[in-house]
Amino acid sequence: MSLDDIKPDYVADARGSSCPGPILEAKKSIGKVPVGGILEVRATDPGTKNDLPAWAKKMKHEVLGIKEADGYFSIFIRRKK
Amino acid sequence: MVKITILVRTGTESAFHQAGIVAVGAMTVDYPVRIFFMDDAITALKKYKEGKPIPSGYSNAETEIAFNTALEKGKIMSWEELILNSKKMGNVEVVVCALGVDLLEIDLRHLPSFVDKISGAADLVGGIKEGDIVFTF
Repeated sequence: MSLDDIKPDYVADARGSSCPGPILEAKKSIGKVPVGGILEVRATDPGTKNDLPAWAKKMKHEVLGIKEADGYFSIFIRRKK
Repeated sequence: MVKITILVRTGTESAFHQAGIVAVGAMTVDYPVRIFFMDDAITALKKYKEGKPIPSGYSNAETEIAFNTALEKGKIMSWEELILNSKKMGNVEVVVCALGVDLLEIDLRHLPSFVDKISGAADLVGGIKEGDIVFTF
């Protein structure tokens, strides 16, 4: 499935927020997604591209990919538990 | 389960902010955290509760300006927001050193509400022994 085709169950907007804001937003938001569902985290902090996948891996979720957008990027995470 | 112990001795915004970042980071991966404030950090907590300014702790003015600008823009959270968020969402306990409290002749009422308890050296050492990773600020 292409990242363009993903319809997230919840979108967390962490644009403009520096570390650890985006990861905190992801932690807050993952509970709003059903197991098997997809969370999209929008961010602008470049370190988030490494930090959020590391968090997802640690928490046993699946990173589906990172999509660049106009002035920000989206990280798609499938909730696994 | 990995346990994190954070010792905060320096009574500055900078030290508190770093402690808050570690607490949030640990909380996001479900690690229990114990933050132990001691010595000069207790005086800073007391001043903060009284609404008085505490030292920034930055030795470079450039860092301090960048930090304050980011704070004003809402780009980063204050150290108190970091600690409150970590406590709200995770297993984070905030402890203040009994000796420091005794020397200042204060009690829990004189400290921010996020402080869970006052405890002594044995508890501190026990916490360090139980902690798999210890950070000091």
